[in-house]
Amino acid sequence: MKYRLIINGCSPGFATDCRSMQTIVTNLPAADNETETIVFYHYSDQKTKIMAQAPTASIRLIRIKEFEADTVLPFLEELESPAPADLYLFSGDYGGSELAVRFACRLGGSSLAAVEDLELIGEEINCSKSVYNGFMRGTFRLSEKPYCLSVSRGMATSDLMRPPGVKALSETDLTERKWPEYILKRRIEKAESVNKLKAANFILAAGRGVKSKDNLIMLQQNAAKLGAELGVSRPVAMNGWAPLNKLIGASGTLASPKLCIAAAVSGSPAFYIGIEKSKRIIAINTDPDAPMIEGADLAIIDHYEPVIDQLVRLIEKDKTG
Amino acid sequence: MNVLVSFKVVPDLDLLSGNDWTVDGNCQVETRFVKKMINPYDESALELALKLADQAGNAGFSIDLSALTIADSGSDLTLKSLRALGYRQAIRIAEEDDLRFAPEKVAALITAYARQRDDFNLIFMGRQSGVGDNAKTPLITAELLGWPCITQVTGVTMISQHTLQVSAISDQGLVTRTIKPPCLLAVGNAPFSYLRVPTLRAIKEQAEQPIDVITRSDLKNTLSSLPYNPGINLIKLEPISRKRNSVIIEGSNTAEKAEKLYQQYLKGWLTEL
Repeated sequence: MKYRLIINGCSPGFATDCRSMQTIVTNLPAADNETETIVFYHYSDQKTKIMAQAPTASIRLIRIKEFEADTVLPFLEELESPAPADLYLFSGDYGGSELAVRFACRLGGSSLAAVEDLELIGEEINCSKSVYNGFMRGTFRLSEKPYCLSVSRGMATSDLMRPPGVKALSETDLTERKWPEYILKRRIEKAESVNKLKAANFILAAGRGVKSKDNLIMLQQNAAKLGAELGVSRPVAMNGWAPLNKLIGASGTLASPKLCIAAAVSGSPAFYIGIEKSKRIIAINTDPDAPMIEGADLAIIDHYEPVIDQLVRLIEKDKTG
Repeated sequence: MNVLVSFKVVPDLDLLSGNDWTVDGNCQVETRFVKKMINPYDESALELALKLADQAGNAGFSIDLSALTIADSGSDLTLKSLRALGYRQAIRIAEEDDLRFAPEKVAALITAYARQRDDFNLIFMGRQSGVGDNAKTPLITAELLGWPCITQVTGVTMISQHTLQVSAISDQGLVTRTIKPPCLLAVGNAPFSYLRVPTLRAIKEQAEQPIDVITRSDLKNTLSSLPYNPGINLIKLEPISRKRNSVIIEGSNTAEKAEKLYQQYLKGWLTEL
């Protein structure tokens, strides 16, 4: 089989995407041809980082204004249609997940988003991913080439060797391409270059049980006193109590802190996926049957406010001696 | 401007407990008796379209809203509620097939309906729904229609009668695009987008009115021209266990529990950070 990797180098999660895809490719049988990675990037100084993180030794660099699927897709289609690979792996970010499905439509292949595992069965492939809001794992047989998959970001393993002798096979500049006609104007408010939740060692995660924005503000103040980064579940973000960059879970940040305290979080899989890579998890919840309790190393069945208040007092007491 | 919003009524999976997650020989999980709700991303899509219609009305424009679902008659009550909220048309494509993992089939039916009507300028959809978790239907629909698509939409504002401003989360940040429809908007985590509640009077007015039900054969002219070869089949379904040790810290009062947590565990763990 012939493989091709497609990665959005503009994304802050670029390094994680590279590791996730390398993890998948490492477990596949050797490709018929050398596997190439196509990287879309914006700033010229990103090239060094791209070369250092590349999941394969051969890469193609495509410079773009900004990542816009309706600009990137026609280029990819033009590039790959004459001799398509059998398997395309796209990064698991928003852009990659969109490209995988739309690219498959254009090339007449089959697609699957957020793939966690992949096995070749002759000329077909089996892929597994979480379904039913993360309660179940589904395994799918794909039979129509090219197979276009976006790779779940949770797949990254850190102990992989970088491929030696990374070389750029080609460099293409698309920065002069106009936005698609339907876009009359476009601006971007760039996110912080470092995702604080992704980088945090200690997260205090708040769920719907905090009940109000005022309570969440109190909890954020206590998080600062504990030395923790505040994260929230989807219902909290949807209520507008916290900005979307605080969202943890399948549709937010997949964090991997050393310690996570989940306060008033029910622990639905869609949230839990975002903290399951934590080394240690402490749950505080009034409901002993909440799924979060089973998913924790330690649990206190109680209201979160007095527990957190007491922990803050104990920590501050120790600090002041 | 004519706007179509497609949505799905789904079981509230958070209500199922551990033992409920059993799979039968047909890769089915029994969810028929679980409380139903509008898929949360679809709910946001329905509300964003209503807000857009409100803005248009305030500016003196008119937006005609249609809501579409592909389902059995169990969704009819929701369709009537949507009509009570301002959706002029509420359409159900009657379908008995298992569509959990068939986004290609769902997209083909939505596309066939849109092509048959041939007057939509804008389509809203939720980015994914939580049974299949496919995250493919809006993208395939856009491709079948040959329309552009904006994903992870968080807000839409009317700029003029023919232009909109669409906010969407991207991997690089919040992107705001001024666009000229047609366009398909796949709604993501949109804050403040819980669906409004219709008045009792409006519900009563709609209760006796039948909804529009169409079948696959009503769409055969437009459906037959669409490619349908997803090349993908579900072959196995199994529950995921996410259990840890789950040691419960006991105590006669809250302070005692917190003290135990801190002294026996947390104090040491914090030094390792």
